[in-house]
Amino acid sequence: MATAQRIIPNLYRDSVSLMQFSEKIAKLPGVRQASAVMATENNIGLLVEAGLLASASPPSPNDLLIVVEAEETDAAELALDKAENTLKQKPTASLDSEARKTPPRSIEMGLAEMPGANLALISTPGDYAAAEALKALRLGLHVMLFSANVSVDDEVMLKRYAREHNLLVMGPDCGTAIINGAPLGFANVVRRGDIGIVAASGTGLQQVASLIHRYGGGITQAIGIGGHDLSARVGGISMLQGIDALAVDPGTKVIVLISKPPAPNVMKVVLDKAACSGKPVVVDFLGADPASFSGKAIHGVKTLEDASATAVALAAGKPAPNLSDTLSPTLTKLTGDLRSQLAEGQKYVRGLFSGGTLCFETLLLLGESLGEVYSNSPLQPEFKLPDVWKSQKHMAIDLGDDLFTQGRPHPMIDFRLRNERMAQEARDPEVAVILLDVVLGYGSHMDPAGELLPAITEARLIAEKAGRKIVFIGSVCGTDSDPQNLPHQEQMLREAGVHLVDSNAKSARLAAAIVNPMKA
Amino acid sequence: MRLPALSIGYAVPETSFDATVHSVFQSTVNLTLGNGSLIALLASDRTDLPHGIGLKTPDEFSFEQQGVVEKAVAVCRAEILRIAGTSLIIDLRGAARWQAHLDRVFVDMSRSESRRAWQTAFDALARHPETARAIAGVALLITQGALVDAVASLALGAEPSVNALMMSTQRNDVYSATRAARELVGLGPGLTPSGDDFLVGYLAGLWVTVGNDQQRAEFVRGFAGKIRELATSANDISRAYLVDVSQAEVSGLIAGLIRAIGEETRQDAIREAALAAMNVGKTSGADGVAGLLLGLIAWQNF
Repeated sequence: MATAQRIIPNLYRDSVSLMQFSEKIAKLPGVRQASAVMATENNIGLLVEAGLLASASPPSPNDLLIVVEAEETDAAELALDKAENTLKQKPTASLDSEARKTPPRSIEMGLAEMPGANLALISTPGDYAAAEALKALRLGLHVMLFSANVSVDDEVMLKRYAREHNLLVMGPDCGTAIINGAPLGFANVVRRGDIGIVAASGTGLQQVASLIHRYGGGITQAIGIGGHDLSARVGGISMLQGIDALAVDPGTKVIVLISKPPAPNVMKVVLDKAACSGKPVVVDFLGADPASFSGKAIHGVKTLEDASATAVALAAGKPAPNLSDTLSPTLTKLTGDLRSQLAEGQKYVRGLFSGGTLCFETLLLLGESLGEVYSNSPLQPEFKLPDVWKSQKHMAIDLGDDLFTQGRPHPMIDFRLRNERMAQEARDPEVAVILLDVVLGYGSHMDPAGELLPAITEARLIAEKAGRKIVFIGSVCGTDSDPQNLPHQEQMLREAGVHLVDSNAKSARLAAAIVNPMKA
Repeated sequence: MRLPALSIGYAVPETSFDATVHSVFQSTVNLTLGNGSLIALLASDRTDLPHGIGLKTPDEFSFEQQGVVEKAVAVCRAEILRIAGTSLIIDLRGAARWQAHLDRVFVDMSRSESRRAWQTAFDALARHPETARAIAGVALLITQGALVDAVASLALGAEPSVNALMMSTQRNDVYSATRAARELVGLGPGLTPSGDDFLVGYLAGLWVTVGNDQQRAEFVRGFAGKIRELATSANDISRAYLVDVSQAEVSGLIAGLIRAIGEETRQDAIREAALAAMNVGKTSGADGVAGLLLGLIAWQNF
């Protein structure tokens, strides 16, 4: 007689199967008896007592121990092989389970593929977006609502539901977020660090995050909240939740808030919340006077660049830097040089922007120096362009506005409209400066400089044929980690004659200084 | 496929949780939680468990056919549980929390009605075909006081340990009872070895016969703590049941039989409850009922 044993780790079969299996194996040729038991200490002891095991082995209660007694060793080993093969066979899944191979077409199906997901990014036509967002919230997911054209009523409903269930809604019309290092929507690759951002502004968030990276800092989270969150009706629900989250986040040392000025009652609530966060908070309410809301823990700033510099300094334990509106000596000299190249009559700045907040910041800064600045989304209603397709005087337009993007991709992806407009501006004899923003990062065109270069070259030629020179000024919003290769993009733009500065604010101030001798 | 939950055992987390699939059977999926404990998804034909989620499943439903595989991630968020790689949506919303609370139950075995009910259940056990195969056969040996033909050698081998266990109980001797229990843990055939099933039933019987006796109460609490310690040497699935009973929690079928013995007067209802409790696994049911019946009389002059 020979005995043989085999341990199959972590194999769980119900008792009926085990019993049937033992009986089946015992009937194999040459086999006298077979036993399949869990390899517990007492069972091993039993088998040793019964002579089926030569000696006790260390128990492993989760393993299945098969013991076979047969006439010969070969028969015992064959029986064990058959036993193991039989036990390891699993019933095949039914045809119904083929459904799981279908690509997900709903949030629920997506969750079936990735049950650990905790955020849904929704980009559907606005009519359907709220319903999809609610589905996601009811499934326990946070929501990034990329979709625009969601009614304020729906936004309020979604955000109240989310708040009650300890969930966050980013948006509607939230194009940018960076959560736990994952870029969402249009977002840059930014170093992880200790600065948290809550922003009602896509390119505002991108500019601040990118500059923080450039200045050597990094971010914990960048939470987008959508453009209407700080209205009186919505009440800043997501902003307040964002501040709370960053306040308790152990990795966040400094909080940055970015938006246009909130509704007055909302501003108070937000600032109160920020002041109680226990952390220094840098607040850039673009267009509001920073002095009016700066306080002990609140550092009010004027520009996105200032917000970044202040946040990085505070995060490093240094005092907030002294910020200046004036150009550096180098840029001041450049101003003079560039002004001297202009022909008689060239006096206007024309900004062609893909980023709404970058355009808005430019309007503010140009307006300070130049007075009237027209736009499709002006600071004052009297400066609204009567025809958005025709420029007048000083102007900065947001080409990402719905007016321009109906049936078209966003200008960060599709440069045709901006390139056509550039040629149009070059034909205007009164245009002195063309301002451009170039936004890198995920979601943006993989080679924005390459897309712009032919248009810049054509515009330059159009002006030169008419005996003029156009000054191109720009800033690249991005980091050296972005997929577009920042140094290469900047090199291409410089070689095309674009004067690059490192922030949108500097770009606006330089443009203003060139056309306004009083500001030189 | 959406499967609504009908009942949720008290040991299932109330908040969101992450788990991995431990083992898959036709009517049950065991999930391992982050702390190493198991919870079980149970098809309609399975009883409530303290660590289980009872589901409403279609006729002839099989988890194995749904593509559930071991080590798959399972995640519960906002009371919706999903298992990666399957289309199963397990909806926990609205399901009632379930708990046996044996420490609040008292079966007065001094009542003639209880004794009669006990006898009915015992007769059902004696006639069950699996009783002789497993440790359950010990119940026949001990109560009938004579060697019964064809009782498995397993039962014969376990008889001294079970005897020692019952005598230790009568003395309220936790140490000796633990020593006897140690000889039964992991003993015998089955995915949940016979000895483990027997101990679950036995301790359940003790919980419900403590009454107002402080010494018994102290013994049961002490012994339950030791069972919890011994459970670490059991396999993952057995351990879940042993830990449950150490906290006075058992399956719905065992709880139902206890209730029948304590309260029911109709003998056919008692018999049905006993048969239902025995109809679990191959010998698990019989072993559990045997343990329960011996536990109920451990302190009695029966």
